[in-house]
Amino acid sequence: MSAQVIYLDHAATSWPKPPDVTAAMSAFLEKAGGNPGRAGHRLSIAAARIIYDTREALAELLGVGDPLRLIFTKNATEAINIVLQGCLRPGDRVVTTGMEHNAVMRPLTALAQQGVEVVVVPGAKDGRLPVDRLEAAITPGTRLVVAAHANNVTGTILPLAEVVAAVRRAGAELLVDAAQTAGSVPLHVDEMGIDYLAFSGHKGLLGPPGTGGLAIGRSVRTDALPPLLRGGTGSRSESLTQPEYLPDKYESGTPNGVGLAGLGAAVRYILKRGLAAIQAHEEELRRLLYNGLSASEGVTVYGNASSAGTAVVSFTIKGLQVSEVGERLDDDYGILCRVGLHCAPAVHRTIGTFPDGTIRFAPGPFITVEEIKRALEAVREVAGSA
Amino acid sequence: MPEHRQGIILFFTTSAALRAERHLSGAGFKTKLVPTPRELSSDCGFALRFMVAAETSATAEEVEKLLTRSGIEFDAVHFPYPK
Ligand SMILES: Cc1ncc(COP(=O)(O)O)c(C=O)c1O
Repeated sequence: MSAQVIYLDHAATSWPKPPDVTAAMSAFLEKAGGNPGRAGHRLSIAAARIIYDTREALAELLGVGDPLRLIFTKNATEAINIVLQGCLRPGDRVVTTGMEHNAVMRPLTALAQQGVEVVVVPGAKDGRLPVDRLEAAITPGTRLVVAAHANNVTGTILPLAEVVAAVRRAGAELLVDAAQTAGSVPLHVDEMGIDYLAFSGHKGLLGPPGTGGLAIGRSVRTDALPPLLRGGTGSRSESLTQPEYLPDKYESGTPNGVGLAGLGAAVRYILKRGLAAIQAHEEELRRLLYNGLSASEGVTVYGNASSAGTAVVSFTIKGLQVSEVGERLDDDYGILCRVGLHCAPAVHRTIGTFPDGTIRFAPGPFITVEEIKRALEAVREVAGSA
Repeated sequence: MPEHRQGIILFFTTSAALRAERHLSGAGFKTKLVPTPRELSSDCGFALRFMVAAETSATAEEVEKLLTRSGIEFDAVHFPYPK
């Protein structure tokens, strides 16, 4: 076993975290352990303040003018479910793409069984989405459009501005699954006119697991969107009905204060280093991977390098199962990546790698050019032995 | 005569109280998050107490306007409080 590791599974969850994250989490437990917003004593207030600081930092990073329109959830999946299960009724039409994660496809499949009309616009084999076909599918009367900002297999980024325009023309609403882009690609919920943005706190945002959220656009009327859970919020305790105001409506029960403390530190790290610098670094790693893998004998690379994308590159090696490659990369080289279907069978069908799947390299902002070169050398050795 | 006059602002959500705390202290108010007075509300959370110098002529309406201008929703401004 190689003692050193090169972690290339950032698209599943980020590791390592920025240095301040652990400190912020233990400080929360040691110094601010109260139940946020439930009492007026100092430990409760200290906890609430830390969580509010995270809300403000995220609102700044994601371009949400009113921090109260940021809802914390345990992950992107929960945020996606709030919108899909809250918005869609039998008879409604929802348009999605062939590039979606199961976090979108499974709720939609269940809703289709209840009579929701689900229209899936196929993606192209190279990971791109033909936007004209998406636009054609967004007919007047469409209730909702849901699309990944970037898919988690080829990393290809959706041209959001065009999609927003088509959604507006049809009078529909848009849910963007930004699990793969928040913290890695610039986003501005208010300026871009996004209605709902679901994100993971533990991927590109560099926070701990168990964190995520939903940003709600300023033009969205939330009275038509019931919450997934109802319960205590610390507010309006005399009432037996769920409050309507944000963020409490969608934040029942004691929140993950420890996780949100860590997420706040992570987001402040991103704001300080600068999203543009992080994006430029990840773009350099993506180029190196594309070029290096494409030039390796016996390696097939999916997606395309010419359209915008995140640092997510999928490939296969001729004559080797992806599971075999994953095991050898881990055991012999300390290279940690994810192989298989990546919870996204729909994407693998689109790019032609279903059911075998691919090997996915997804470096984060702490991976160096040197480490990518070592990973490429390892792939050449493994491929050469096939 | 006390040196300061106090008021208290009630919010629908503690997130708004924290947002207001930041805005009002930025605008030069002395503020403190305190348990919500039971006679004003049944909420178990906290409210925002603010203090102004006794000789200033600040009114509840001015505080309300300050909050509204920043897009901060509140339940009620009680000023002076306690009476
Ligand atoms: C495109 C996409 N959507 C949704 C998710 C789900 O994110 P989470 O694990 O935070 O629920 C993921 C990650 O697994 C993803 O890559």
